[in-house]
Amino acid sequence: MKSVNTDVAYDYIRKKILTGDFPPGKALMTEVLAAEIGVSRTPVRDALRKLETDGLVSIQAHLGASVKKMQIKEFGEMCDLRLALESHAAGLAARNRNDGDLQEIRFALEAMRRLTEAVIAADTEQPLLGELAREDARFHIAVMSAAKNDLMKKEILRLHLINRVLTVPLVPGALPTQKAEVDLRRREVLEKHNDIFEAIARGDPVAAKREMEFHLQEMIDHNLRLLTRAESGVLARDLTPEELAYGS
Amino acid sequence: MKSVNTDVAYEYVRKKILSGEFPPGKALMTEVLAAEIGVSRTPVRDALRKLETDGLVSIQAHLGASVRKMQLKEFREICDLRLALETHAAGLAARNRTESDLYEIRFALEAMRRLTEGILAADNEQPFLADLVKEDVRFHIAIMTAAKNDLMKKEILRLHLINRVLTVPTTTGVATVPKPVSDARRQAVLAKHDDIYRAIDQADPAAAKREMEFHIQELIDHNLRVMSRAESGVLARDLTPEEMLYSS
Repeated sequence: MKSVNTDVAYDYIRKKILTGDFPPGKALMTEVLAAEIGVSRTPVRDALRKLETDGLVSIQAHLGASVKKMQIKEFGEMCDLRLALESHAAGLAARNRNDGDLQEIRFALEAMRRLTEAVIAADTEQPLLGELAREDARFHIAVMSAAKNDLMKKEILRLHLINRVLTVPLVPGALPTQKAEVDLRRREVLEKHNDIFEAIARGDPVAAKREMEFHLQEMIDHNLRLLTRAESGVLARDLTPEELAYGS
Repeated sequence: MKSVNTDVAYEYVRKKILSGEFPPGKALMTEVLAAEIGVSRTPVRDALRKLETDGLVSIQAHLGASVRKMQLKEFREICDLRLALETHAAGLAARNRTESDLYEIRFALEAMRRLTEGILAADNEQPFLADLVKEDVRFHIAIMTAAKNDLMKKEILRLHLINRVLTVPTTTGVATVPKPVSDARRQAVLAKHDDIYRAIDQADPAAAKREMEFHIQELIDHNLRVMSRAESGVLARDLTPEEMLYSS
Protein backbone atom coordinates (compact mmCIF):
# COMPACT_ATOMS: atom_id res chain seq x y z
CA MET A 1 0.00 0.00 0.00
CA LYS A 2 2.85 2.36 0.79
CA SER A 3 5.82 2.14 -1.47
CA VAL A 4 8.99 3.99 -2.36
CA ASN A 5 7.21 5.40 -5.41
CA THR A 6 4.42 6.76 -3.23
CA ASP A 7 7.05 8.57 -1.16
CA VAL A 8 8.67 9.93 -4.30
CA ALA A 9 5.36 11.19 -5.65
CA TYR A 10 4.39 12.58 -2.25
CA ASP A 11 7.64 14.53 -1.82
CA TYR A 12 7.49 15.81 -5.38
CA ILE A 13 3.96 17.18 -5.21
CA ARG A 14 4.35 18.45 -1.66
CA LYS A 15 7.42 20.46 -2.57
CA LYS A 16 5.69 21.95 -5.60
CA ILE A 17 2.78 23.02 -3.41
CA LEU A 18 4.95 24.46 -0.65
CA THR A 19 7.08 26.48 -3.05
CA GLY A 20 4.03 27.84 -4.80
CA ASP A 21 4.84 26.17 -8.13
CA PHE A 22 1.49 24.48 -7.77
CA PRO A 23 -0.73 27.35 -6.58
CA PRO A 24 -4.00 26.98 -4.64
CA GLY A 25 -6.77 25.76 -6.91
CA LYS A 26 -4.49 24.10 -9.46
CA ALA A 27 -5.89 20.82 -10.78
CA LEU A 28 -3.75 17.78 -10.00
CA MET A 29 -4.31 15.14 -12.66
CA THR A 30 -3.14 11.67 -11.79
CA GLU A 31 -2.03 10.78 -15.30
CA VAL A 32 -0.16 14.01 -15.93
CA LEU A 33 1.63 13.78 -12.60
CA ALA A 34 2.49 10.12 -13.09
CA ALA A 35 4.16 10.94 -16.41
CA GLU A 36 5.91 13.98 -14.95
CA ILE A 37 7.30 12.05 -11.98
CA GLY A 38 7.94 8.85 -13.89
CA VAL A 39 5.90 6.48 -11.74
CA SER A 40 2.65 4.64 -12.32
CA ARG A 41 -0.73 6.05 -11.35
CA THR A 42 -1.30 4.09 -8.17
CA PRO A 43 1.49 5.73 -6.12
CA VAL A 44 0.30 9.14 -7.36
CA ARG A 45 -3.22 8.38 -6.18
CA ASP A 46 -1.89 7.26 -2.80
CA ALA A 47 0.31 10.35 -2.54
CA LEU A 48 -2.64 12.64 -3.30
CA ARG A 49 -4.71 10.90 -0.64
CA LYS A 50 -1.91 11.43 1.84
CA LEU A 51 -1.68 15.10 0.92
CA GLU A 52 -5.41 15.34 1.48
CA THR A 53 -4.79 14.06 5.00
CA ASP A 54 -2.18 16.77 5.44
CA GLY A 55 -4.79 19.31 4.37
CA LEU A 56 -2.81 20.47 1.34
CA VAL A 57 -4.95 18.89 -1.36
CA SER A 58 -8.67 18.57 -1.74
CA ILE A 59 -10.26 15.66 -3.55
CA GLN A 60 -13.80 15.84 -4.83
CA ALA A 61 -15.90 13.18 -6.43
CA HIS A 62 -15.87 13.46 -10.25
CA LEU A 63 -13.70 16.61 -10.12
CA GLY A 64 -10.54 14.89 -8.97
CA ALA A 65 -7.77 16.45 -6.94
CA SER A 66 -6.56 20.05 -6.73
CA VAL A 67 -4.31 22.11 -4.52
CA LYS A 68 -6.39 23.22 -1.58
CA LYS A 69 -7.80 26.68 -1.74
CA MET A 70 -9.00 28.21 1.47
CA GLN A 71 -11.83 30.61 1.98
CA ILE A 72 -11.39 33.27 4.64
CA LYS A 73 -13.92 31.52 6.84
CA GLU A 74 -11.92 28.31 6.79
CA PHE A 75 -8.68 30.18 7.31
CA GLY A 76 -10.15 31.90 10.38
CA GLU A 77 -11.32 28.56 11.73
CA MET A 78 -7.94 27.00 11.23
CA CYS A 79 -6.20 29.89 12.97
CA ASP A 80 -8.48 29.43 15.92
CA LEU A 81 -7.70 25.73 16.04
CA ARG A 82 -4.02 26.56 16.10
CA LEU A 83 -4.57 29.16 18.81
CA ALA A 84 -6.34 26.59 20.97
CA LEU A 85 -3.65 23.96 20.53
CA GLU A 86 -0.56 26.14 20.68
CA SER A 87 -1.63 28.02 23.79
CA HIS A 88 -2.54 24.74 25.46
CA ALA A 89 0.90 23.42 24.47
CA ALA A 90 2.54 26.47 26.10
CA GLY A 91 0.76 25.58 29.34
CA LEU A 92 1.97 21.99 29.07
CA ALA A 93 5.49 23.23 28.35
CA ALA A 94 5.50 25.23 31.58
CA ARG A 95 4.60 22.03 33.38
CA ASN A 96 6.77 19.48 31.55
CA ARG A 97 9.88 21.30 30.34
CA ASN A 98 13.32 20.06 31.36
CA ASP A 99 16.60 21.95 31.35
CA GLY A 100 17.41 20.92 27.79
CA ASP A 101 14.06 22.30 26.60
CA LEU A 102 14.63 25.60 28.40
CA GLN A 103 18.07 25.92 26.88
CA GLU A 104 16.70 25.36 23.38
CA ILE A 105 13.92 27.92 23.85
CA ARG A 106 16.36 30.46 25.36
CA PHE A 107 18.80 29.86 22.54
CA ALA A 108 16.20 30.70 19.89
CA LEU A 109 15.05 33.71 21.91
CA GLU A 110 18.59 35.11 22.19
CA ALA A 111 19.14 34.64 18.45
CA MET A 112 15.86 36.49 17.80
CA ARG A 113 17.04 39.29 20.07
CA ARG A 114 20.36 39.67 18.24
CA LEU A 115 18.67 39.59 14.84
CA THR A 116 15.96 42.03 15.85
CA GLU A 117 18.57 44.52 17.06
CA ALA A 118 20.55 44.05 13.86
CA VAL A 119 17.43 44.56 11.71
CA ILE A 120 16.60 47.74 13.59
CA ALA A 121 20.16 49.06 13.20
CA ALA A 122 20.46 48.20 9.52
CA ASP A 123 19.36 50.28 6.53
CA THR A 124 18.52 47.25 4.48
CA GLU A 125 17.02 44.57 6.62
CA GLN A 126 16.34 42.12 3.83
CA PRO A 127 19.27 39.70 4.40
CA LEU A 128 18.42 39.21 8.08
CA LEU A 129 14.70 38.56 7.76
CA GLY A 130 14.89 34.97 6.62
CA GLU A 131 17.07 34.15 9.58
CA LEU A 132 14.78 35.94 12.01
CA ALA A 133 11.79 34.00 10.71
CA ARG A 134 13.74 30.76 11.13
CA GLU A 135 14.62 31.51 14.75
CA ASP A 136 11.06 32.54 15.45
CA ALA A 137 9.79 29.22 14.08
CA ARG A 138 12.48 27.44 16.11
CA PHE A 139 11.29 29.16 19.28
CA HIS A 140 7.74 27.93 18.74
CA ILE A 141 8.86 24.41 17.86
CA ALA A 142 11.01 24.27 21.00
CA VAL A 143 7.96 25.20 23.07
CA MET A 144 5.91 22.43 21.43
CA SER A 145 8.70 19.93 22.09
CA ALA A 146 8.82 20.98 25.73
CA ALA A 147 5.09 20.25 26.01
CA LYS A 148 5.86 16.53 25.55
CA ASN A 149 2.81 15.76 23.47
CA ASP A 150 3.96 14.46 20.07
CA LEU A 151 0.49 14.31 18.62
CA MET A 152 -0.20 17.93 19.52
CA LYS A 153 3.11 19.02 18.05
CA LYS A 154 2.38 17.16 14.83
CA GLU A 155 -1.05 18.70 14.57
CA ILE A 156 0.21 22.24 15.20
CA LEU A 157 2.95 21.83 12.59
CA ARG A 158 0.38 20.55 10.12
CA LEU A 159 -1.72 23.67 10.67
CA HIS A 160 1.36 25.91 10.32
CA LEU A 161 2.09 24.35 6.97
CA ILE A 162 -1.43 24.73 5.63
CA ASN A 163 -1.37 28.39 6.58
CA ARG A 164 1.97 28.82 4.88
CA VAL A 165 0.72 27.43 1.61
CA LEU A 166 -2.18 29.78 1.66
CA THR A 167 -0.09 32.88 2.32
CA VAL A 168 2.63 32.12 -0.24
CA PRO A 169 0.82 33.80 -3.16
CA LEU A 170 0.65 37.06 -1.19
CA VAL A 171 4.40 37.52 -0.70
CA PRO A 172 5.17 39.66 -3.79
CA GLY A 173 4.23 42.89 -1.99
CA ALA A 174 7.10 45.21 -0.96
CA LEU A 175 7.05 47.29 2.22
CA PRO A 176 6.69 51.05 1.99
CA THR A 177 5.70 51.39 5.67
CA GLN A 178 7.48 53.73 8.09
CA LYS A 179 10.58 51.98 9.40
CA ALA A 180 10.01 53.37 12.90
CA GLU A 181 6.61 51.74 13.02
CA VAL A 182 7.84 48.38 11.82
CA ASP A 183 10.75 48.51 14.27
CA LEU A 184 8.37 49.16 17.11
CA ARG A 185 6.27 46.16 16.19
CA ARG A 186 9.42 44.00 16.01
CA ARG A 187 10.37 44.97 19.53
CA GLU A 188 6.89 44.19 20.79
CA VAL A 189 6.94 40.77 19.18
CA LEU A 190 10.32 40.07 20.75
CA GLU A 191 9.10 41.16 24.19
CA LYS A 192 6.11 38.89 23.87
CA HIS A 193 8.40 35.94 23.14
CA ASN A 194 10.38 36.91 26.20
CA ASP A 195 7.22 36.86 28.34
CA ILE A 196 6.34 33.42 27.03
CA PHE A 197 9.81 32.13 27.78
CA GLU A 198 9.82 33.51 31.31
CA ALA A 199 6.44 32.01 32.15
CA ILE A 200 7.64 28.60 30.94
CA ALA A 201 10.96 28.96 32.76
CA ARG A 202 9.32 29.69 36.10
CA GLY A 203 6.84 26.84 35.63
CA ASP A 204 3.69 28.96 35.42
CA PRO A 205 1.22 27.20 33.07
CA VAL A 206 -1.52 29.81 33.40
CA ALA A 207 0.76 32.68 32.44
CA ALA A 208 2.45 30.69 29.66
CA LYS A 209 -0.93 29.93 28.15
CA ARG A 210 -2.12 33.51 28.47
CA GLU A 211 1.02 35.01 26.91
CA MET A 212 1.01 32.55 24.03
CA GLU A 213 -2.68 33.12 23.42
CA PHE A 214 -2.14 36.86 23.35
CA HIS A 215 0.79 36.57 20.96
CA LEU A 216 -0.98 34.25 18.54
CA GLN A 217 -4.21 36.21 18.61
CA GLU A 218 -2.29 39.28 17.59
CA MET A 219 -0.61 37.39 14.73
CA ILE A 220 -3.93 35.95 13.61
CA ASP A 221 -5.69 39.31 13.60
CA HIS A 222 -2.82 40.67 11.56
CA ASN A 223 -3.08 37.84 9.04
CA LEU A 224 -6.83 38.07 8.76
CA ARG A 225 -6.65 41.77 7.98
CA LEU A 226 -4.12 40.94 5.32
CA LEU A 227 -6.22 38.19 3.82
CA THR A 228 -9.34 40.27 3.81
CA ARG A 229 -7.52 42.95 1.88
CA ALA A 230 -6.12 40.36 -0.53
CA GLU A 231 -9.61 39.02 -1.17
CA SER A 232 -10.82 42.46 -2.05
CA GLY A 233 -8.01 42.62 -4.61
CA VAL A 234 -5.61 44.82 -2.68
CA LEU A 235 -2.26 43.27 -1.95
CA ALA A 236 -0.90 43.82 1.54
CA ARG A 237 2.08 46.00 0.79
CA ASP A 238 2.68 47.13 4.33
CA LEU A 239 3.82 43.72 5.50
CA THR A 240 7.38 42.58 5.73
CA PRO A 241 8.38 39.23 4.21
CA GLU A 242 9.28 38.18 7.72
CA GLU A 243 5.81 38.84 8.98
CA LEU A 244 4.39 36.98 6.04
CA ALA A 245 6.66 34.03 6.59
CA TYR A 246 6.22 33.81 10.30
CA GLY A 247 2.63 34.75 10.57
CA SER A 248 2.04 31.78 8.37
CA MET B 1 -10.61 8.88 -7.31
CA LYS B 2 -13.65 8.82 -5.08
CA SER B 3 -16.45 6.54 -6.12
CA VAL B 4 -19.61 4.97 -4.85
CA ASN B 5 -17.66 1.78 -4.21
CA THR B 6 -15.16 3.66 -2.08
CA ASP B 7 -18.04 4.96 0.02
CA VAL B 8 -19.48 1.45 0.32
CA ALA B 9 -16.13 0.03 1.41
CA TYR B 10 -15.56 2.94 3.78
CA GLU B 11 -18.93 2.56 5.50
CA TYR B 12 -18.52 -1.20 5.75
CA VAL B 13 -15.07 -1.18 7.34
CA ARG B 14 -15.86 1.81 9.55
CA LYS B 15 -18.99 0.20 10.96
CA LYS B 16 -17.09 -3.02 11.70
CA ILE B 17 -14.45 -1.04 13.58
CA LEU B 18 -16.91 1.07 15.55
CA SER B 19 -18.99 -1.94 16.56
CA GLY B 20 -15.86 -3.71 17.76
CA GLU B 21 -16.20 -6.58 15.28
CA PHE B 22 -12.83 -5.52 13.89
CA PRO B 23 -10.92 -5.05 17.13
CA PRO B 24 -7.83 -2.87 17.56
CA GLY B 25 -4.80 -4.52 15.98
CA LYS B 26 -6.77 -6.65 13.51
CA ALA B 27 -5.08 -6.88 10.10
CA LEU B 28 -7.12 -5.44 7.23
CA MET B 29 -6.18 -7.20 4.01
CA THR B 30 -7.23 -5.44 0.86
CA GLU B 31 -7.97 -8.62 -1.07
CA VAL B 32 -9.97 -10.26 1.69
CA LEU B 33 -12.03 -7.12 2.26
CA ALA B 34 -12.60 -6.60 -1.45
CA ALA B 35 -14.01 -10.12 -1.74
CA GLU B 36 -16.07 -9.72 1.44
CA ILE B 37 -17.61 -6.42 0.31
CA GLY B 38 -17.88 -7.38 -3.36
CA VAL B 39 -15.90 -4.50 -4.84
CA SER B 40 -12.50 -4.32 -6.49
CA ARG B 41 -9.30 -3.59 -4.59
CA THR B 42 -8.89 0.06 -5.53
CA PRO B 43 -11.93 1.37 -3.64
CA VAL B 44 -10.85 -0.71 -0.62
CA ARG B 45 -7.41 0.86 -0.72
CA ASP B 46 -8.94 4.33 -0.96
CA ALA B 47 -11.34 3.57 1.88
CA LEU B 48 -8.50 2.37 4.12
CA ARG B 49 -6.55 5.52 3.37
CA LYS B 50 -9.57 7.57 4.33
CA LEU B 51 -9.94 5.62 7.57
CA GLU B 52 -6.30 6.34 8.25
CA THR B 53 -7.13 10.04 7.95
CA ASP B 54 -9.93 9.51 10.47
CA GLY B 55 -7.39 7.95 12.79
CA LEU B 56 -9.17 4.60 12.91
CA VAL B 57 -6.74 2.59 10.80
CA SER B 58 -2.98 2.57 10.68
CA ILE B 59 -1.07 1.75 7.52
CA GLN B 60 2.55 0.70 7.62
CA ALA B 61 4.94 0.09 4.78
CA HIS B 62 5.19 -3.65 3.93
CA LEU B 63 2.86 -4.56 6.82
CA GLY B 64 -0.29 -3.16 5.28
CA ALA B 65 -3.32 -1.85 7.13
CA SER B 66 -4.71 -2.75 10.53
CA VAL B 67 -7.28 -1.39 12.96
CA ARG B 68 -5.49 1.23 15.00
CA LYS B 69 -4.26 0.20 18.39
CA MET B 70 -3.44 2.91 20.83
CA GLN B 71 -0.81 2.89 23.47
CA LEU B 72 -1.55 4.60 26.75
CA LYS B 73 0.83 7.44 25.83
CA GLU B 74 -1.00 8.12 22.59
CA PHE B 75 -4.37 7.91 24.30
CA ARG B 76 -3.24 10.47 26.84
CA GLU B 77 -2.07 12.76 24.03
CA ILE B 78 -5.39 12.53 22.22
CA CYS B 79 -7.26 13.31 25.42
CA ASP B 80 -5.16 16.39 25.91
CA LEU B 81 -5.81 17.51 22.36
CA ARG B 82 -9.50 17.13 22.97
CA LEU B 83 -9.25 19.02 26.24
CA ALA B 84 -7.55 21.93 24.47
CA LEU B 85 -10.10 22.07 21.67
CA GLU B 86 -13.29 21.48 23.60
CA THR B 87 -12.30 24.02 26.24
CA HIS B 88 -11.54 26.59 23.58
CA ALA B 89 -14.84 25.80 21.86
CA ALA B 90 -16.73 26.47 25.10
CA GLY B 91 -15.15 29.93 25.23
CA LEU B 92 -16.14 30.58 21.62
CA ALA B 93 -19.66 29.35 22.36
CA ALA B 94 -20.01 31.91 25.15
CA ARG B 95 -19.05 34.58 22.63
CA ASN B 96 -20.92 33.42 19.53
CA ARG B 97 -24.05 31.60 20.73
CA THR B 98 -27.44 32.61 19.39
CA GLU B 99 -30.79 32.22 21.11
CA SER B 100 -31.46 28.96 19.32
CA ASP B 101 -28.04 27.60 20.33
CA LEU B 102 -28.89 28.36 23.95
CA TYR B 103 -32.24 26.68 23.52
CA GLU B 104 -30.63 23.53 22.15
CA ILE B 105 -28.05 23.36 24.95
CA ARG B 106 -30.72 23.96 27.61
CA PHE B 107 -32.97 21.35 26.04
CA ALA B 108 -30.27 18.69 26.35
CA LEU B 109 -29.44 19.82 29.87
CA GLU B 110 -33.07 19.58 31.01
CA ALA B 111 -33.34 16.10 29.52
CA MET B 112 -30.16 15.11 31.37
CA ARG B 113 -31.65 16.45 34.58
CA ARG B 114 -34.87 14.44 34.18
CA LEU B 115 -32.95 11.27 33.37
CA THR B 116 -30.50 11.74 36.24
CA GLU B 117 -33.42 12.17 38.64
CA GLY B 118 -35.05 9.11 37.15
CA ILE B 119 -31.92 7.12 37.86
CA LEU B 120 -31.62 8.42 41.42
CA ALA B 121 -35.21 7.36 42.11
CA ALA B 122 -34.99 3.97 40.42
CA ASP B 123 -33.65 0.67 41.66
CA ASN B 124 -32.48 -0.35 38.25
CA GLU B 125 -30.80 2.42 36.29
CA GLN B 126 -30.22 0.34 33.17
CA PRO B 127 -33.28 1.56 31.22
CA PHE B 128 -32.19 5.22 31.55
CA LEU B 129 -28.54 4.97 30.69
CA ALA B 130 -28.57 4.95 26.89
CA ASP B 131 -30.82 8.03 26.84
CA LEU B 132 -28.65 9.82 29.35
CA VAL B 133 -25.57 9.21 27.22
CA LYS B 134 -27.40 10.46 24.13
CA GLU B 135 -28.43 13.69 25.84
CA ASP B 136 -24.98 14.19 27.28
CA VAL B 137 -23.41 13.87 23.83
CA ARG B 138 -26.09 16.17 22.46
CA PHE B 139 -25.22 18.79 25.09
CA HIS B 140 -21.58 18.77 24.05
CA ILE B 141 -22.36 18.84 20.34
CA ALA B 142 -24.72 21.78 20.84
CA ILE B 143 -21.85 23.71 22.44
CA MET B 144 -19.49 22.93 19.56
CA THR B 145 -22.19 24.11 17.17
CA ALA B 146 -22.65 27.31 19.17
CA ALA B 147 -18.90 27.97 18.87
CA LYS B 148 -19.40 28.53 15.12
CA ASN B 149 -16.18 26.86 14.05
CA ASP B 150 -17.00 23.90 11.79
CA LEU B 151 -13.42 22.76 11.52
CA MET B 152 -13.02 22.63 15.28
CA LYS B 153 -16.29 20.73 15.66
CA LYS B 154 -15.20 18.20 13.07
CA GLU B 155 -11.85 17.74 14.76
CA ILE B 156 -13.38 17.28 18.21
CA LEU B 157 -15.87 14.73 16.88
CA ARG B 158 -13.03 12.87 15.17
CA LEU B 159 -11.18 12.65 18.48
CA HIS B 160 -14.36 11.50 20.28
CA LEU B 161 -14.70 8.68 17.81
CA ILE B 162 -11.10 7.52 18.10
CA ASN B 163 -11.50 7.34 21.84
CA ARG B 164 -14.70 5.38 21.44
CA VAL B 165 -13.06 2.73 19.30
CA LEU B 166 -10.38 2.33 21.85
CA THR B 167 -12.73 1.95 24.79
CA VAL B 168 -15.14 -0.49 23.17
CA PRO B 169 -13.23 -3.64 24.13
CA THR B 170 -13.30 -2.75 27.83
CA THR B 171 -17.08 -2.28 27.84
CA THR B 172 -17.60 -5.88 28.89
CA GLY B 173 -17.33 -4.95 32.57
CA VAL B 174 -20.52 -4.18 34.46
CA ALA B 175 -21.07 -1.56 37.14
CA THR B 176 -20.52 -2.82 40.64
CA VAL B 177 -20.08 0.56 42.32
CA PRO B 178 -22.38 1.04 45.30
CA LYS B 179 -25.43 3.06 44.26
CA PRO B 180 -24.76 6.01 46.61
CA VAL B 181 -21.32 6.44 45.06
CA SER B 182 -22.49 6.38 41.46
CA ASP B 183 -25.48 8.59 42.33
CA ALA B 184 -23.17 11.17 43.85
CA ARG B 185 -20.99 11.17 40.75
CA ARG B 186 -24.05 11.57 38.50
CA GLN B 187 -25.21 14.57 40.45
CA ALA B 188 -21.77 16.12 40.32
CA VAL B 189 -21.57 15.62 36.55
CA LEU B 190 -25.01 17.19 36.11
CA ALA B 191 -24.05 20.17 38.30
CA LYS B 192 -20.94 20.69 36.19
CA HIS B 193 -23.04 20.73 33.01
CA ASP B 194 -25.23 23.32 34.73
CA ASP B 195 -22.18 25.50 35.39
CA ILE B 196 -21.05 25.23 31.79
CA TYR B 197 -24.49 26.16 30.49
CA ARG B 198 -24.77 29.14 32.83
CA ALA B 199 -21.39 30.55 31.77
CA ILE B 200 -22.34 30.27 28.09
CA ASP B 201 -25.74 31.78 28.77
CA GLN B 202 -24.13 34.72 30.58
CA ALA B 203 -21.69 35.19 27.68
CA ASP B 204 -18.70 34.67 29.98
CA PRO B 205 -15.97 33.01 27.86
CA ALA B 206 -13.43 32.75 30.70
CA ALA B 207 -15.90 30.95 32.97
CA ALA B 208 -17.18 28.71 30.15
CA LYS B 209 -13.61 27.66 29.39
CA ARG B 210 -12.77 27.07 33.03
CA GLU B 211 -15.87 24.94 33.71
CA MET B 212 -15.45 22.90 30.54
CA GLU B 213 -11.77 22.32 31.23
CA PHE B 214 -12.56 21.10 34.71
CA HIS B 215 -15.28 18.77 33.44
CA ILE B 216 -13.23 17.23 30.62
CA GLN B 217 -10.13 16.90 32.78
CA GLU B 218 -12.18 14.96 35.29
CA LEU B 219 -13.46 12.62 32.56
CA ILE B 220 -9.97 12.13 31.20
CA ASP B 221 -8.50 11.27 34.58
CA HIS B 222 -11.32 8.79 35.03
CA ASN B 223 -10.62 7.22 31.64
CA LEU B 224 -6.90 7.06 32.19
CA ARG B 225 -7.42 5.17 35.42
CA VAL B 226 -9.56 2.68 33.50
CA MET B 227 -7.00 2.37 30.73
CA SER B 228 -4.11 1.81 33.10
CA ARG B 229 -6.05 -0.93 34.79
CA ALA B 230 -6.99 -2.45 31.44
CA GLU B 231 -3.34 -2.38 30.34
CA SER B 232 -2.35 -4.23 33.44
CA GLY B 233 -4.86 -6.90 32.52
CA VAL B 234 -7.60 -5.90 34.95
CA LEU B 235 -10.88 -4.95 33.37
CA ALA B 236 -12.56 -1.84 34.68
CA ARG B 237 -15.52 -3.41 36.38
CA ASP B 238 -16.48 -0.43 38.48
CA LEU B 239 -17.54 1.64 35.50
CA THR B 240 -21.09 2.03 34.37
CA PRO B 241 -21.81 1.44 30.69
CA GLU B 242 -22.86 5.08 30.53
CA GLU B 243 -19.50 6.25 31.71
CA MET B 244 -17.73 3.96 29.31
CA LEU B 245 -19.79 5.27 26.43
CA TYR B 246 -19.86 8.90 27.16
CA SER B 247 -16.37 9.41 28.27
CA SER B 248 -15.40 7.87 24.98
